[in-house]
Amino acid sequence: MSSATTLASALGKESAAVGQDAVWHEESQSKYDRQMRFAPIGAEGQRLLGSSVVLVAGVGALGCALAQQMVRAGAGTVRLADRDFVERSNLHRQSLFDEADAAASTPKAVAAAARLRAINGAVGIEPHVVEIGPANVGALLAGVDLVLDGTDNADTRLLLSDACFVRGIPFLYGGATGSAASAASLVPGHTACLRCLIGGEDEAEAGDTCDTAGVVGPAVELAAALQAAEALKWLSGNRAALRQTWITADVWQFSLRETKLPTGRPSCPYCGESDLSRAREPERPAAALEATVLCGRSTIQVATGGPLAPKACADRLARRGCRILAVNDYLVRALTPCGATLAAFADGRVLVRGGAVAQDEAKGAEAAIRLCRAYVLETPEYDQREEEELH
Amino acid sequence: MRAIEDCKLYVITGETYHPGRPLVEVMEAAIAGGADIVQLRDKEGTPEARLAKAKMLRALTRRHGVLFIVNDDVELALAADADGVHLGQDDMPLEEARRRVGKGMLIGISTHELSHALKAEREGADYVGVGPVFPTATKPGRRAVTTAYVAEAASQLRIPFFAIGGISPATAEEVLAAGARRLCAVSAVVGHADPAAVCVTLKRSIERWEAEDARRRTNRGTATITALNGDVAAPNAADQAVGRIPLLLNGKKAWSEAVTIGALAGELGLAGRRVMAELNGEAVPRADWDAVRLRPDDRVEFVQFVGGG
Repeated sequence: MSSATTLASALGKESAAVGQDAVWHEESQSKYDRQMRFAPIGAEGQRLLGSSVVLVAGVGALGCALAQQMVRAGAGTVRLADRDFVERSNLHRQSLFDEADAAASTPKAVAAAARLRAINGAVGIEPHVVEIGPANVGALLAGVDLVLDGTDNADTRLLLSDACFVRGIPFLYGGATGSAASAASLVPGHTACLRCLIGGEDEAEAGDTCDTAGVVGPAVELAAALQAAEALKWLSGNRAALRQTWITADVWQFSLRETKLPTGRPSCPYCGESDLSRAREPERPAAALEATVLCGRSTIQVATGGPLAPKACADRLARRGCRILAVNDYLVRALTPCGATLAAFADGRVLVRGGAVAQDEAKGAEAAIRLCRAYVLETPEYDQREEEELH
Repeated sequence: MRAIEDCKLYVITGETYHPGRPLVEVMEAAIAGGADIVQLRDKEGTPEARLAKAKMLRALTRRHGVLFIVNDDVELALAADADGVHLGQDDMPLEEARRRVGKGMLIGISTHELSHALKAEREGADYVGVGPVFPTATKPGRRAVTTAYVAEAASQLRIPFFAIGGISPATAEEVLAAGARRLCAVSAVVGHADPAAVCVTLKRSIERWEAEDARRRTNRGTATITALNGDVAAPNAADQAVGRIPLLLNGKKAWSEAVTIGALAGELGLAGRRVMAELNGEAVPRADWDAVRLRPDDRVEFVQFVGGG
């Protein structure tokens, strides 16, 4: 190759880049003008933000607020992961959903994605209707610069924190229950990990959940605002400005406390100095039918182990005497003859609520598995005796 | 004489671990590396030979300003003008030894469970050994007490304790993480070609954990100011008599017998609950709760984890 062509092609590339840059510049100048006028962000910060990939883990109240902040601010890609569908009881605080979403039982990730695309078409939105678990956390974190925590339980947060610290990705914890809000930026190499701060899976869940203590919108928005501010700093190249504290606040009896975050514990396999290869993500063998009680929701989740086709599943449920409440590409919801509600997702999970499950919490898991066998699965282990028990 | 509270690294003789090398040379290397206490343990030699060794070590330790302790033998400790005597569970009872040596001499006691240590503390021991933490060739056949006992000792004892048994640079972090801040080693030091280097490593590990403890207390001043403002109850003689210390617990003055964050959490029924602990403004990792000791006027907060989303 002659030096002239090399130069020409280099110039060509450069002018193309300049051209793209100009378009980008013009569009972002108008769209993000007020944000770029904020000196710490500026044009360079906006450009960095525009090339970033963030995972919003859980698209409930926090997740809606977080995703909206990231999309309006002009993140490059916003990946959404949520296992649930929209219900009327979500609408008072989950700001991306409306009554139509609740009526259609639209999965939260899908409903949020539609709204977010309308808000800012320049941002790549990737909805995933999944339960975040050991099997998919690696794929969800691939290429991600930052994880914004919108989950509602400690186990998923611990899983994400472990996986983030192994990969060197900041995990921005947030939580809201009642009128309390909490947020902390846990950054590999700088702070301790979540496991070191709150203990492992063996500790009891927090006594209060949104389903028992309720939650008010402002508490959610405060936690999300604290998380989003840190995310903007990290993604716009203002990493040194990150707040190194754990905030606990209450928006009702107003209080706000800051607790300094310790550095990683030397002996921790996730945030310590120890060889990262020692850290292993938990490997749980997938049981054929595995039931999990979703904390404080009188809902039991059954993993059936394989994908389900919602429409075919709806036919089966109807044939077996269930009333179909909603069916879409992602899930089918149905009422069984014994008064339980089933929501069967395409990824093979079934959320079971009411009926025998609600009557006896101790035996709920067993009952939920029986219901799945009887109604959801293709080859039901149908048994008259069980049917009577279920009634 | 160096105060026992200031001693962090304790090295015991073990001549079978360094055949061909003189005792004094090996122990001098240990002292050069940072040993604060040297103990003569020699259960085989003749009385004359043991007295000769004791006198040599006495001269050595005096020259370097470190403590000299004699194992088992109260009379030998007196004859060699040692700083103290160390007794096992099957040796002379502590009270009898105290009568014999008086108040001027240190008495240390080997303990293998918490009840031993609490009894020794009650009866006036100056320090205790806590172990064997790991199985060790020095005490074959004795069941290791594991770091669980170290954590218990850290949360319950007020007198200094030295973790002993299988302590080496490889195991030190685990023992320190369990709450020990004083270590005692035998074979890992005296059986090593470079005893000074091993002692330096052990001493650095201890100092790193102490620095971390100190860092956690940097904000203690605030609580004192509150006390000066008369905002809190006056110290109560009865509280002090039973070993309670004043704390600012979730913003309120409280008296507690708890020695560590972990013990305090237990006292409050918070063990096993999803809470975060804060000491003087900084979060304390869960795994360190039993190792972080409370001091008067510490500010402690237990914060409920907010889990909704």
